[in-house]
Formats: sequence, C-alpha cells, structure tokens
Amino acid sequence: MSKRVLYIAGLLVLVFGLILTACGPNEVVDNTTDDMANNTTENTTDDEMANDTEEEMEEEEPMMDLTGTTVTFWHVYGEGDSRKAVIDAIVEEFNATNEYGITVEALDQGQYNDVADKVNAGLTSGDLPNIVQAYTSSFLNWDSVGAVVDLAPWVMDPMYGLTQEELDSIYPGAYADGMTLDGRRLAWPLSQSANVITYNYTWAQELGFDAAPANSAELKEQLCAAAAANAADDNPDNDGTGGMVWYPSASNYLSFVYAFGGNELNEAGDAYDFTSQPFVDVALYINDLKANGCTFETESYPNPEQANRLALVTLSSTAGLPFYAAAFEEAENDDVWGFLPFVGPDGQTAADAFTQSVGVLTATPEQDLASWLFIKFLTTAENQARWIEASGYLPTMSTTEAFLGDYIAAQPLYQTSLDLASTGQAEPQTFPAWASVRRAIDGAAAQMYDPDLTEEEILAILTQLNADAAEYVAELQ
Amino acid sequence: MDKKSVFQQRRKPLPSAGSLKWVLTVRKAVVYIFLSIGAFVSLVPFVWMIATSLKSLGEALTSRFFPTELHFENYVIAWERALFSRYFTNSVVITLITLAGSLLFSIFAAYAFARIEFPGRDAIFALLLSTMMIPAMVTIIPNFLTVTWLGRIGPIPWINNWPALTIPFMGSVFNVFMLRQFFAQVPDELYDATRIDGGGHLRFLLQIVLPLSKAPIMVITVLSFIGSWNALAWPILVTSTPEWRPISVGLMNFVSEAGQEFHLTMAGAFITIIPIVLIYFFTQKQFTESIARSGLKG
Amino acid sequence: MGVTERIQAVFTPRRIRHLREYFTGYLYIAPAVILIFIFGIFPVGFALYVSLHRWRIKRSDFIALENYTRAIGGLTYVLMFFIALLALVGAYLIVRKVLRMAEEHGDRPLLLLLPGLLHASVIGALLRYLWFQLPEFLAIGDKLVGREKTRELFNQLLGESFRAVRPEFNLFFYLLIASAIVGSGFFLYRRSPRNSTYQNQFMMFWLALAAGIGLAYFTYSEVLTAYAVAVETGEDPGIWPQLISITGGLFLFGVAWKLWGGAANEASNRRFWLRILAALGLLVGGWLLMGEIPQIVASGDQDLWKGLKVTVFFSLGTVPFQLAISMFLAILLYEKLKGSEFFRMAYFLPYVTPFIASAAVFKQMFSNREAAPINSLLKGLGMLPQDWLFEPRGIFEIIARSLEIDWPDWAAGPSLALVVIIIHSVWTYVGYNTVIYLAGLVNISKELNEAAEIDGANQWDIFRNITFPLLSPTTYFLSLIGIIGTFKAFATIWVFRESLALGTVDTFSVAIFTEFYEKLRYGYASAMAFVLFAIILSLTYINNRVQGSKVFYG
Repeated sequence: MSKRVLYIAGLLVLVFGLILTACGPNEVVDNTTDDMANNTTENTTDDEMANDTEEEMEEEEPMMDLTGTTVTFWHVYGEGDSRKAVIDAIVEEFNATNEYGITVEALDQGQYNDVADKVNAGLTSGDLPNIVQAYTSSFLNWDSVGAVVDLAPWVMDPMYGLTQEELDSIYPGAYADGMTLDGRRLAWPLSQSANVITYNYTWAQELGFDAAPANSAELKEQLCAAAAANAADDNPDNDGTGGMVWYPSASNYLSFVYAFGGNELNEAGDAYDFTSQPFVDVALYINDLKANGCTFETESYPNPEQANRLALVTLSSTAGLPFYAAAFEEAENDDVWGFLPFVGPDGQTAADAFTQSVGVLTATPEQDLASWLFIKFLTTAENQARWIEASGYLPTMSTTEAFLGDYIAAQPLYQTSLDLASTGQAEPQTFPAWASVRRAIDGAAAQMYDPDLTEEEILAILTQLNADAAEYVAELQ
Repeated sequence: MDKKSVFQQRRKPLPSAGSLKWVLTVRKAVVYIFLSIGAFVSLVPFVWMIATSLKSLGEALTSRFFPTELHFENYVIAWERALFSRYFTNSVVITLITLAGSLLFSIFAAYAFARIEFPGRDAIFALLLSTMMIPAMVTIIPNFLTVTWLGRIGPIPWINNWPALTIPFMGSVFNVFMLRQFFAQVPDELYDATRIDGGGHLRFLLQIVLPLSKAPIMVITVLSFIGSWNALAWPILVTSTPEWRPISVGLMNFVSEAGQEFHLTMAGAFITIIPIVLIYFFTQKQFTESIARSGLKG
Repeated sequence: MGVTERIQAVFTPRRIRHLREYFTGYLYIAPAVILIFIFGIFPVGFALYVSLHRWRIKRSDFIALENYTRAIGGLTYVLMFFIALLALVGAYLIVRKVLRMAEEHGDRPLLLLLPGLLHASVIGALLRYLWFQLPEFLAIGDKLVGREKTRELFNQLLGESFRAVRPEFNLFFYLLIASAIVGSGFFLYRRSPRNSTYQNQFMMFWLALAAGIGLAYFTYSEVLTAYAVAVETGEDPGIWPQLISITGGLFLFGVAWKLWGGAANEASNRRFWLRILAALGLLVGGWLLMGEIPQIVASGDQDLWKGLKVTVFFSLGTVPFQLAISMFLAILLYEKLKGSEFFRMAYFLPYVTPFIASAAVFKQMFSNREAAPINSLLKGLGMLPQDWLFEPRGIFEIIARSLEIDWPDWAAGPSLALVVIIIHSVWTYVGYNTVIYLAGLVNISKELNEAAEIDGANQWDIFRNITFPLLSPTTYFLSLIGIIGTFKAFATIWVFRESLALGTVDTFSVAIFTEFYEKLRYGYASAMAFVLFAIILSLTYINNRVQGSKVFYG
C-alpha cells in the first residue's frame, strides 16, 4: 500500500511540476518574443534584399554572370491557343540567341484568376515563378507583401535598360499602367486592348445617318432610330432590339464616364470619388436609352446581334475583332462595320484601355535580372508585332506599327482599332485596392441600370460606392 | 399496429377480370406518360447540347433547335484543339490510382468502423464525418502547403506529379461512410462461422465481406470517375506543366479559348462525358443493386 | 508481487484478445484516418488559426474574435458562451456516466482522474506546441524567397523551424512520456477491465472542463475588452443584455418544448390543455426575448445575412422538389415496365454531365432573348417573356404583378435568377436521388404491397401508409446530403452569376469565396466558413432530431 501511495505522490509532483513550467509566465514571454523575432527577421530580410539589389545595381551589376540562369514564366494561354504558340516561339528564339546564357521556361497556368490563385498560394509555400502574367492590380496585392521586383531601375539602366528612343515611342497610357504612385514599376505591358464601340456603318446609312455619331446625343438618336426600325418592320421576332447591347460592367460604364469627362479619383488625385457629375450623367443617359427602348441585354457575347442587325452598336474589347468578323461572315452579312471610341456630350472621345502585363516576382538577383532581360526581348517592337498578329491586341508603342504592314493589309478593320491605341485611357490600376473597387463598380453599375431611378437615388448608390471604396482602401493601411 | 390491418377496414369488392385488364392498361399508359415527361425534361438540354455541337457557329448562336446541316467535323476540331487524347489518358491514370488507394484504405477503415470494437471508435468517426461540412475553399491553401512540403521532404516531388493529384483523395470520408453502412449489414452469423474455422477479421473481410461488396465498390468507382472528371481548381493549383493535367483542365482551356465558338464548346463537353456515360451504362445494374443493399439507413 | 507476475496477472488471455482486437481496429483505420487527418482535419485547424488573425495573403496580427464579431456581431460572444456551457455540461455528463458505471461494477475509479489529467494535458501541450510551430513553418516560405530552392536549404530551414520551438515540443514530449508511464502504471496496478475506459473518459472530462472554463474565461475577457473599447467610443455594445435575453429565450423554448411533448401523455383533457397553454405562453415569452437577435444581426456583416437568406431559399427551393420528383419517378420506375432501363439512364445523365457544359446550355435556354426556347414557350402560352438570370426581382412578386396584385416586399421570394439555378440544380440531382430511392424501394417487400392491394387499398393509401414510411431512411439520408450540398454549393452558382441579378444569387458560399479569393481577406473568409460550419452542423442536428425520430426502420 505505502508503495503505491509513494508512487502516486511522486507522479503528482511530476505532473504539477510540468504543469507549472507549462503554464508559467513562459507563455506570455514566448508569445511576444516570438512575434518580435518574427517581425524583425522579416524586416531585416526585406531590407537586406532591397539593399542587396540596389548595391548590385550600382556596383557589381555589370559583372553579373547570368550563364546558366533559368527562369520560369507563367502565362494564361492554354494548350491549343494560337497565342501560346507565339509565346513559345519567342521563348525558343530567346533561349537560342540570348548572349547571357539565360534559359526561359514558359508554362501556361490556366486563366488570369488561376494564375493569381497559384501565386497567392505560392507566396505561402515559397514556390513561385520568376515572370508572371497578371492584372496590374494583382501585382499591387503581391507588392503589399513585398514579393514584386521594381522594374524601374532596370528600365532606366544604361546597360540593360531601354534607349531614350525606345522609351519615347511608348504611348503614355501604356507607360503609366504598372507604375505605382511612388514611381515604382511593378509590371510591364506586353500589349494593350481597349473597350470600344462596334458600329454598323451600312445599316446606319440605310437609316439615314451618313456619319458615325460624334457625341452622345447623336448616338442616342441613331440607336433609337435603329430600335424603331426593328420595331416597325414585319418581323415580330426582332422587336425590342436594334439599339445598343448594354451590359452594366465596370469597363462599359467607365468608358462612358471617361467620354463624359470624368475619372475615378478626386481632384487632388488622392482618393476615389464616384459622385462627380459625369458618373451621374452616364447612369441617367443609359437609363434614358433603356426607357426609350434603345438598349437591351444579352446573356453572352453580342457578336451575333451585331452581325444580324439586331444591334446597331455593341460594346467590346478590340481583341474581339476576329469574332465579329466571323459572326458577320457566318450571317452572310456584307455590312461595313468598325470600331469607334466612346463619345461624350461635347464630342469628347475616350476608350478604356487595359494592358496585358508581365511582372517579376523576387528571386535571386541573377534571376531577377534575367527575367527583365527576357521581358525586354519579349516586348521589342518586332516581337510585339508577332504577338499582335496572333492575338489581335493593340501595340503599346508607335514603333510596332512599322512591322504590322502585312497584318493590316490582311485585316483592314484592324486599322480602326489601331487608331485608338495611342489615346486609350487607363484605369487607376495601381491605386490602392482597385481590384476590389472595380468589382464594387460592377455591382453599382448593375444597380443603377434601372430607368425608374431618380437622380437622387443614383447619387445615393454612388455615395455608397464611395463609402465601400474608402473601406477597401482603409483596410490596406 | 400491423400494416395490413390498416386496409382491412375498407375492403372493396374485387374487380372482374376483364375490367382489371383494362384498368391495368390505362395505368400503364399513365405511368409511361409521366416517365416520358421526366425523360423529356432530363434529355432536352442534352439534345440541345448535341444539336448545338453539330451546328455551324452562326447557327449555334441562334435559337433554332436543330441544325440544318450536320457539322461532324466540329468533333474532330474539338478533339485536336483541346488535346483530349493526352488529357484523357491522364485523367484515367489519375482516377485509377486514386481509386486503388481509396478502395484499399476505405475498405479496411470502413470494416473497422463497422465491425471492430475499440475505444474512441465513434468519436473518431464523428470527427471524420464533420469534415464533410467545412466549405472546401478555406482548406485549399493549407492542403497546397502540405503537398508542397511532403514533396520537398519525401523521395518524389508531389507538385506536378501524380501524388498531389491522387493521395489527398485516397482518404475519402464519403467512401468510408458508404462502405461502413454496407459492411454493417453483413450478418453476424457469417463472422461467427469464420471464427469457428479459426479465421480472424482479415480472413472474414477478404473471403466473405469483399465478395459480397462488388456492388458498392462499383458505386465508388463511378462516383470517383465523376468526381475527378469535374475537379478543376485543385489540379490547376498543383500542376504547372501539362504532363499530369486531367481532362477538366483540357476542357476549361478549351472552353475559355473557344468560349465564343459555342458549337465547339458543346462538342468538347460532349466528348468529355462519353466515358462516364459508358461506365455508368455498363455498371448501372450493380449500381442500383449496390445502393439497395447498402441500405443507406442513416 | 514482482513486476513480471503482475504483468502475467494483468495480461490474461481474455485481455490479450481484447487488446489484439483494439490493435486490429486501430491498424485498419490508420491509413485512411491518417490521410483524412492530414488532408481533412489539419486544414480545418489551419483555417481556425487563420480566422483568428488579420490575414491578407500572409499572416498579420492576432486579433482574437474580431473576424467573428465583424461577421455576426455580438452574437459571437453569446455563441462562445453557449459552446463553453456545452463543454461544461459535457464534462458533467461524462463524470455522471463514469460514476454510474463504476457503481454498477463496484469500481473505485476516482484515482484514475490523475492519468486522465495527464493524458488531457498531453493533448493540450500538443495543441500549444502546434500553435507555436505553425508560424515557424509559415515563415519558411518567406525565407525561401530569393535563394536557390534546394532540398538541403529546405531541410536546413525546416530544422531551424523545429529548433525554434524546442521548449514547447519538449514540454509535449515529456508529458507524453509521463502520461504513458503513469497510464501503464495504473493499468498494471489496478486490474479493473474497465481501466482504459475510465482513463479515456476522464481524459475527455478534463478536456471538456478545460475547454469550457478556458472558452468562458477567454470570451469573458473579450467582452470586457469590447466594453473597454466602447467606453472610448461612447457606444454601448450591449453584450450582457443580449446574452441574458437570448439565454432566457432559449431556456423558455426548451421548457415549452418539454411541456408540449409531455402534453400528449396527459390523461385528463384539462391538464392537456393547461400544458399546451403554458407551452404557448412560454413560446411567446421566449420569442419576445429572442427579439434581440435582429438587432444583433444588424450589427454584423449584411452580405453574410443576405447570403444566408439566399442559401435558405436555394435549399428550400431545391431539396423538397428534388426529393418529391425523384420519389415519384422512382415509384413509377419500380413498376418494372419495359424500357425502364432507358428511363433510369435518361434521368441519371444530367448527374454525370460536367456542370460547365450543362450551365452553358441552361444559359442559352433561359436566355432573355425573346426568341430563346423558354421565352418562346412562355409566349406560346400567352405569358410575358422574362429576363431570367438577369432578374433580381422575386418570383412571387413577378407572378403577383403579372396578375396585377399588390405584393409586399418581404414576401417577394427567391429572385427569378435564383429560380433558374434551382431548376438547374433539381435537374442535375433528380437522377441520383431517383436511383437511390429506387434502391430503397427494392428493400421494401413486394408482398407487403400486394397484400395491401388485395385488401383493396388504393394507390394513395399504399403510398401514404407503406411506401412513404418505409422510404423514410432514404429520405432522411437524401435530405441530409441535400441540405449539406446546397449549403456548400458554389461552382454552379458561380457560373450562373450575373451582375444584373444584383447579388440575389450570392449564397453564403459565394460570399465566402469572394471574401477569400477576390478580396483576399483570408482571415475573415475563414471565420465566415466556421460560421457556415456551425450552421450546417446545427441543421444536421435539427434534421436528426426532427426527422430521425420519425424515421421508420422497416
């Protein structure tokens, strides 16, 4: 018996001792030191990294030996896509000819959102590509955790950068995209596209309009005439069509806002503001069209409507050109059609431009430099022309046009979109939280698309949008 | 109360033989009508899909139901453009590996949960079941982290390789649950007989229970194929080269690229479902029976 | 008595047989359970960890319950107190069970509380260790950036991350050894055959006790913090009154439920009615007390509650229809007519079709174009064509308007856009449910039906009195799977989602997805996922209680 009591007593002491050591002040101290240690190591590594690259840029950089450096490039063009073939061809050429001994491996990773999800996951696991194709706003997110290489020093570098001539040839809109407010460059444009009006010249002429609409009032007149024509003819199936296919997306809404003279930021340019008059006017303008039966909606791309004279105007990316061409061919419709910029009340024109951008995620200094060198090669005027011939996108610099002669000859309509390339206005992609704000604009545009709304109600929706945007921005600070 | 007695209170006179036959015929007709309405609703979208897959682009975008001309070449184009031949092989290999592992592990686990007494059994089982109720989106990143790390520590890489696509799905709660329901119905007497012969659990499982379980295994096979045919987000996340990508990725690539070419999208979609339809066709008898015998009594 | 003899005395053949049985059980479940732990339970734990932090792509500050209060407002604290209470009740129930068992067998198990405590502290130490180890693991990803990713480097970093939390691991390890020694010591010295059961139960008791007290204390301090913050901003968070009134309301509901349930057994009419009246009074009282809830709800995330409403519509619109249609079809198919295999196949096809394809077809069929199939059908029937997926207005409202009836907003019902998704969902799953119902029918003895038929029972009687009750286990299973499925459904809804539907199809899962993948609020999205988990769990429980009691196991 006494043996057992002793045994148990000993155990009790052991247990209590262990519990005491476990639950003592240990925990609190551990917690804080742990966090502090974490923070400091994170900070120092970040700073060191930054210092490292800067120093190397200044001193060792010319000596950097890139032989044998391998970089991976994630893009969004899947198997069987003709655009993938061009990327692969350019990569192959780069691997065979570059003087530094760099090897690039180009891999398709699904669509834009797949690539973004993969990079987000890779930021946790540590497995990342070097070069990645993504929306500028994604680069902004990754920059917030310090994962993106600032390309600005490389661009300006006398040895590895671009010449003044090359810099001058880049369109200002495309150049600004990818630059943060403090002048860092997170992404480099591969090409661009613009949101534009697709317009049926022949049908407009038959309706009695000899010229494309020069301002929003003329646009309304033509749309409503087309709608009236479809309502008046013998075919009951096309009643309610004829005007403009409107989908209340951020791109379409913002395009009109630009043409109406507005933009997303306040006058000081330091915060979002969606309550300026152009935002209200565009909503009222569209609702007025709707109320008069001059707009309608479709559940998929409106190409067949355009090609079958069910819509005088549809809104599209310039990259949709081949699909419109196919739709017209399919409908055996010989109408002359083309792209126009959006028009405002005083005849102001605008097109909402997007870039297809690539950026570099932080790796070793050698890989970072090698990545930039590849990007530079990928976006020379000559290669951009190859890329454009496969994709139908627009160039980002004036020098590319010289290489596009044959393409334009084969695709005469491309010229109408090419004319818009230099004037495209970019969204504030690098302004904080743009991706979230843009989705909120999508929602607001849909909410405002209702002819029963009064101006006050529209203003209330836009005021709420302002509040949401402010919340998204505040969350990041 | 005996079920029969409910009806004895209102016994009706039996109808004569002639009118009975007539009644039966009318009844049959009514049943057929309802069944046909059901089949019609089920199949219309399908017929639409097949019809669209045989149209030209212009026709595909109109609301005409049947094509004026049959464009069988759409299938050839879809097959070649989406590289289905490669993705097919990948999908089949991935499904078979997953299935093999999943069956092996779930059969043993289900057997233990159904027929062996051990401390903590029900608690563990409840814990497993509760994992079915968590939305998958928040578990994807930790799982990605796990497979990356297991690949770094272990002898073979997991990312871009078959383990990441198969091993996480080998521990399937649903399969364990389903098989457990089935195993629990095997009569105890059979086990006692095995014991008397000097056999244990292993022998009972392999010699008695498994041969009785062809049917639920069939069900798991079909459901596994359906599951891996539809999985998209995870395969994209854990592969960065096409080497191991499954057919859903091929279809997705194809749909996003041919998104405006509706007829090709439909042809591609139809190609991907053919194998599943075939598997179901050949297993459907067992399929129904197996569910019948597993009882699925909560 | 020497140790050897003791061991011999303990390991009687019967005990060895038991142990071998246990061992076989654990061995059999090990591979599947290990895999499910790695890929099913670890990620859930990880998500819980994430939900307690501010976390955008990467981990930031620990913010305790803030993500939860942002989602469901003050309800968080109330729920936390309830969970703590449940844990304490669980602890009490375990002790009661053990004591009863001991009394029955004449054991004296109280001394075993000690090894139980040790086992429990092992689990506590393990959780504590993981809590510290996880951030170290996560830091490895950052350390890999900018360096050549070799296996050696990774192993080195992994080693460092283990060393960083060595004290926590050691604590766990020593406790493990101590508990193993003490546990087996007691096993050797006290020869009750229920020794290990007692040890397990006591371990559960300590865990439940610690969880209950810990949670209650943690929540209490969080509430105090919330009040402290409120002093600065001058707003009264009103958590205590909420807690009291909701608890009171629930308590009254519970008593009402008891009274109601007992009423049926009352012999005298007067007492029966008294009980019913009392129950009704309590219900009203409970309802009034619960009136706090809408206010609390208003302080949470509106998107989340809207999402919950849409989810409930989706679930109610899908599950009952799907079950009714498939039960009907299964009964028809059971007639074993010629061609039934064809019909079975036809019904099952939608289930095997990739939803990317079927959704594309549905979008075309339910297009808002006037010439689209469904709209032309409507026109043929003399009705107005509809906007379908673009239509945010409720279906009842639309019907009422077309009949020129005034209709209140709150009864608008699910939006027409959601109705299309419901139709797609029903279309997809009817085949699967039919097959399972058919299987259930095969189990019902044919003779029973025939006997009833000879007895002159008509079809409806047979269905109501025989088929339906006998199918109840299947219905139960399918409704459970259906509810869980509709609450978790995401991909199909996402494909059908149009901005013109103004968020009327955004279910809870969609809300979680947008928070996680679009807004990159990992912490908040994880907290929402646990709220959804809690909802599904309680629905499962309610379904079990309500349906489970009526399930007839033939």
